[in-house]
Amino acid sequence: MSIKVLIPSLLYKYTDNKEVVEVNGDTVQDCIDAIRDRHPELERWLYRGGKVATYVHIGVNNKKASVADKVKDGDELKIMLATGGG
Amino acid sequence: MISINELARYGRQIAYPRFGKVGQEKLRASHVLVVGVGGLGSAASIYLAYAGIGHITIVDNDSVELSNLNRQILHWESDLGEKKAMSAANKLRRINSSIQVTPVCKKITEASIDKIVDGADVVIDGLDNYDTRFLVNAACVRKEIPFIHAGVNGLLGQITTIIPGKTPCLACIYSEPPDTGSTIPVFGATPSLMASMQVMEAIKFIAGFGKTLGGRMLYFNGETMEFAHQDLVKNPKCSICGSGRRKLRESRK
Repeated sequence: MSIKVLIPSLLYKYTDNKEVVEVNGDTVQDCIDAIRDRHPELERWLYRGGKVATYVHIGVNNKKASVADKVKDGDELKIMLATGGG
Repeated sequence: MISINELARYGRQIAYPRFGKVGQEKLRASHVLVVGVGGLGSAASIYLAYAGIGHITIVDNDSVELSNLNRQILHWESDLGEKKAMSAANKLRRINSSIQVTPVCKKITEASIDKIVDGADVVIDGLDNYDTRFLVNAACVRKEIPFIHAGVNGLLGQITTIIPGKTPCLACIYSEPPDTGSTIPVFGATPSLMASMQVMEAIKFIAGFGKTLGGRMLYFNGETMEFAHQDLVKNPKCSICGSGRRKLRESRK
């Protein structure tokens, strides 16, 4: 099952400059874990206390999703990170 | 009453059907506080001044540095070393001499924030860190003042409007402070875009028309030129606006 994960630009440097990473998984959580496993530096940005951080917002096919949501082949998962600069 | 001079100056916005003379009078009577006058705060306060907001207070305790000058458009080469609040106030008064501009060179702390937000009708987020944003958010919830939050990074931006008692507050949205990295890269156009939207939100709220971003986060990605919305949910146990607040107050008694 192939899911496209769209990476926010501020994390490109941790994904070998890839804007999209294709992973396999049955849930949003599986997909986030899979990109973290492939690019371990993402742990610091996406997780707090071993869980996907509350400030990481996720959309699947442009609709709001939570980590427990199921995903299917061809879905597009978008990660939206909190930006803090002013 | 709108004067002939005001009618000429603000005519192109007074002509907007849902705004009109009454909307302009509401802007003139309003007091907007801009916390932080960097990339976001510069652009936001410029548009607030041009729109005819009657009283703008700008708070910033930093001084202008060379590294600010790629994006903080209210500060110029001649202002290097000057307090940002003073540098900004000088320009805003020249943009619009009929409004009141109050510069405040003060650090935002837990002790100072309540006094800083007192009397504001709307607070605009021009900050560069979440610790201070949480302080401002908490004060705005206590005083029931709308807080228009935005943040930027590179070509990415986000914005939401927090209306105490109605929408989720910043602590509902982020129960833990986001990690935003150390040196945040940014192009000047990104905060200017987000600040323009903050001012649109302020104008709509003050004049009472349209639909704000209350309960929704708008994300912008300038690298792909895409906008995305995310619905936001109130946390009933929020330590700032929910039941956690009462528990915290009781434990302090």
